[in-house]
Amino acid sequence: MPKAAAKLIDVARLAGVCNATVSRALAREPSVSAATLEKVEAAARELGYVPHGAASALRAQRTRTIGAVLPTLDNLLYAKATHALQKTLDDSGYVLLLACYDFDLNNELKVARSLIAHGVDGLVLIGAEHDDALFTLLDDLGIPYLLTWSLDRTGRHPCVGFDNHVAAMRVASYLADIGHREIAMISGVTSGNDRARERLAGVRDALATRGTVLARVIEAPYTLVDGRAAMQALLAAASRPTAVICGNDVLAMGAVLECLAQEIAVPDAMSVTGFDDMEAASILVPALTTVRVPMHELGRAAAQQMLARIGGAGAARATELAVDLIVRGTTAPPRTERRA
Amino acid sequence: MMSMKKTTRKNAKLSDVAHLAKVSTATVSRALMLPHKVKPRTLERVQAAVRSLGYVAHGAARALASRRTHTIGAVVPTLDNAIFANTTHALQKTFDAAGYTLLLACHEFDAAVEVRLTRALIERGIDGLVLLGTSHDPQLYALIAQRQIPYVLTWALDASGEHPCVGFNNRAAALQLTNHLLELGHREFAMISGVTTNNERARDRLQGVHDALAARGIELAPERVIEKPYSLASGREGLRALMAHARPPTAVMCGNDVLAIGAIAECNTLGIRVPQQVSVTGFDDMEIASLLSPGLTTVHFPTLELGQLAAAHLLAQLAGGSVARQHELPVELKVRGTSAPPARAQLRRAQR
Repeated sequence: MPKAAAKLIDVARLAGVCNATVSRALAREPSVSAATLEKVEAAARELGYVPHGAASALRAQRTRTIGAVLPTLDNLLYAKATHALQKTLDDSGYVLLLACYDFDLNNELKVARSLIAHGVDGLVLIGAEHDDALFTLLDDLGIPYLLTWSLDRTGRHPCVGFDNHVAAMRVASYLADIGHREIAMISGVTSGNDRARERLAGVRDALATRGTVLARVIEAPYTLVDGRAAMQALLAAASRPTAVICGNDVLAMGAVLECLAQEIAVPDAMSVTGFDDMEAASILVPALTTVRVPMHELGRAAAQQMLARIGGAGAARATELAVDLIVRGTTAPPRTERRA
Repeated sequence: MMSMKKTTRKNAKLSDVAHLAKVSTATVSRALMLPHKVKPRTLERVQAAVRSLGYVAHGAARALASRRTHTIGAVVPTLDNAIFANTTHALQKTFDAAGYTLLLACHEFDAAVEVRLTRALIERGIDGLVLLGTSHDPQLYALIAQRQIPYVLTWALDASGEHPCVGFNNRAAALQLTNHLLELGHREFAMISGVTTNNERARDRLQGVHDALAARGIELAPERVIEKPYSLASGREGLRALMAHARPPTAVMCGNDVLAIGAIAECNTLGIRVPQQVSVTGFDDMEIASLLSPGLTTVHFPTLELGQLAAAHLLAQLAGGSVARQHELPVELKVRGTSAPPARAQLRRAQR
């Protein structure tokens, strides 16, 4: 038992750091190094110092591990953001453990349970759509969590993401603006995937405001082969679209490769767009018109918000990141438009 | 009666346990999954209720009962490489089919971080461990031996014969590919290699190229070898630097497909025709390698099969079965459109 109530300054003196550092360390601010945090925690323990907000933090057994549950490891879809997440957590002395569920929400619940059972201080999820049982479990266990890549429309969950619906509207509006009327979409599989669903809805809504409808939608898993097959189906149809919006860059690359294989000139005979702006999209000739998602920023912001939540700080509930339409070489006005 | 009792046991729900233990369902969840956060007396009550009802809900409860976690840990260099992602995906699928969850951690090519991550995984409780490559910190091997964790090394073959592994002969793959270019008539070689520190795959590939050339009396000069991290941007930079030499190479071998695709993209930017002016090769045979035009000449590594076999190897160890210590997977040369004989003028210049 401490003789008199220890003050912040006592902790600072014992740990050999300044008052501000103690505050920041106990608030689990990411700027504090792991070594400093350890020193401050040891000093706080020894003196029995209990700050208001951090009381529970000191009592709880921290594992300094964050879990992230990814839909897939395939095709580097989440690699860049996860990389940034990991780097930022690592800088604060946290370990990131990953598990993957193959776009199957039942499986997500299972692997999330496994991560939790192994001891994580917080859990990062992708997208806004999850099994209700997962949210119940996280609430019951009092485990901080964060949704990423999407904005939560219900306003119930903390999230770091961007507006997939608005981003997709911008792509479709741009194509309509340069004269396309026959537009098809190769969408990601929408079941259990709110990002794919919002992108599809955004395209539909943008075209509707211009009195156009989406000519055709093919849903395909995010792979090159599936992108190619979908483009093949669109090209084989009696009335071909003049532009194809793809749910992500992997599908778009597959679609462009199929056009090249069939000697259909992109963008002269066919415009193609992607989504995400993966590094690989830049190697296509012509380079892909796409939506730039700030994946690095997304990962870093998610890590910072997660660390703040673990520290009990009143972190922002929703962080929206900006996305940009990047017009490159795979889009042009349709042929008829240019003749007119 | 017996059968009725059995049915009851099978159907025991979380709420039944909560009711019997006189706690909330949230407390039952906490007791099962985060026992250290629950008061010992409450924990005891919940555990007694679980036992009396025969409640078996999910992984955590099973783990408590069997001391097996049904979790496998894998520590890989990075997620940001399609080829590793490919293998890891196959690992995960195979473990999942066998009722195991794969937990993954990335060390970003830092040996010290790898030790830290592996320790964290082992301390959390894993039944087995998958590592990538054979170059590891001695501390890591000591840790595994001390905790007696079944493990398997992947991607490379362990020359010491000490460690269980499922992998490829990277040096032999490089020999094959270099011999292909030699047969086409190339004499002016350069290599954009992966970073060889702590990476025996990159080292073995570079060594294979050196050895194949040495067998023909050709030296790969140090200024013709550039080490770069595996990225498209690195491939671009490497190619630009190599082609700026007074006597540019006629064949640029790249440490993997990502570097090769970056190098080819840079050739397009610089107006250098592939394969007419320079041949470019990769390693791995990523999905996109055959879809590009021209298709990439590379060595096919059966990476999906690697993931499946590595998982099967570890599962067999866990089942107590006997498994071959080393399993080598064959690789295959894929000659496509980015390799061709050097132009005659370049040959003449080389012979001068």
